[in-house]
Amino acid sequence: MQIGAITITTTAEKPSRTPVGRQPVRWYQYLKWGDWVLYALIGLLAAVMFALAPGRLASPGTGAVLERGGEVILTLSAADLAASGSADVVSGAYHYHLVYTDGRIRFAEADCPDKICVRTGWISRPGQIAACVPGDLILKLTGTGDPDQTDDVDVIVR
Amino acid sequence: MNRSSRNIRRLTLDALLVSLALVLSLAERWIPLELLVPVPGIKLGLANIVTLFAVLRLQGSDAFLIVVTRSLILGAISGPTTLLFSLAGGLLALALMLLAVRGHEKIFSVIGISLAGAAAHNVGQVAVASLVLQEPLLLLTYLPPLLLTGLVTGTLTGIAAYPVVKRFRLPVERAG
Repeated sequence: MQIGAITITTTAEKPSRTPVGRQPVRWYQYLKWGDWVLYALIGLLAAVMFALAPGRLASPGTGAVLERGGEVILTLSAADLAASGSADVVSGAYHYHLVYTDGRIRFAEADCPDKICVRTGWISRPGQIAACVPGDLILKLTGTGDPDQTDDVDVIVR
Repeated sequence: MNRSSRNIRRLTLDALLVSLALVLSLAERWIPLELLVPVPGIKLGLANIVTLFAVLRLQGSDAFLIVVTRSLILGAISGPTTLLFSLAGGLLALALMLLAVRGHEKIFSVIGISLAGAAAHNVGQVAVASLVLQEPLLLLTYLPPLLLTGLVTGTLTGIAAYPVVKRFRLPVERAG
């Protein structure tokens, strides 16, 4: 019987067939140096992208726009988001239920195939997005928290 | 073994692997992984085991046919979005795995090739999503968590594929 690194041999038990002095091989002992490089590179890439992603700064003036095929089909102001409410949207064959409260918004329900939009969860900071490819929808947060987002404000005016 | 019987062998094996990959792709939908790890789009990538095997033990053309056929059939079952995602992720993953397999045993283990495939699969899928929706920010939003979870799932599928790759030294000549 073997528990972790300690081998307990009772008199009733047959001796282990593993030769003496041979340690069990763990999965990471198969790794080559290139594997470790890949772990580091992929992790680094993820970290850099995460650092570049918008939505790190909270902003009191955060509103939301829902775009379908590049066109804005729903605009919610910061005041709308601060109050509680919901919106139902139909895009193609799919139905979506959006819920917003306390300055945040999410796809609460959808009947699209993979439900990536719903799993994205709450978004609350300018620049954050939730997307649904089958329904061709992008929910974007707009606001003053990030100077790069001023372009999106122009879109609402149009 | 003459040429025609070798071709039949190859056809049969490839068809078998396509069906295996399909079953794995469909079966992993029943695993509610996203409930445990709330990352949008997360998957175990079990079909990656089949691609790993094909890349390591068969020819590149076999691996290509298996990936494309699997995507086409999945697309026929689940619709055009799935087809597009499956092809983009599958082919980019295959391309990187074929590159990585050149360094197999020397630079990368099976796990490293699996990691490359998992990361490329995620990049391909999110890139297609951001192209379809014309929103490059999707890459920054959805890719980082998928890349990180891909390190874990890629390791797991690599470990799962290891004994298969190790034991099945099929009489299918790589050079054939």
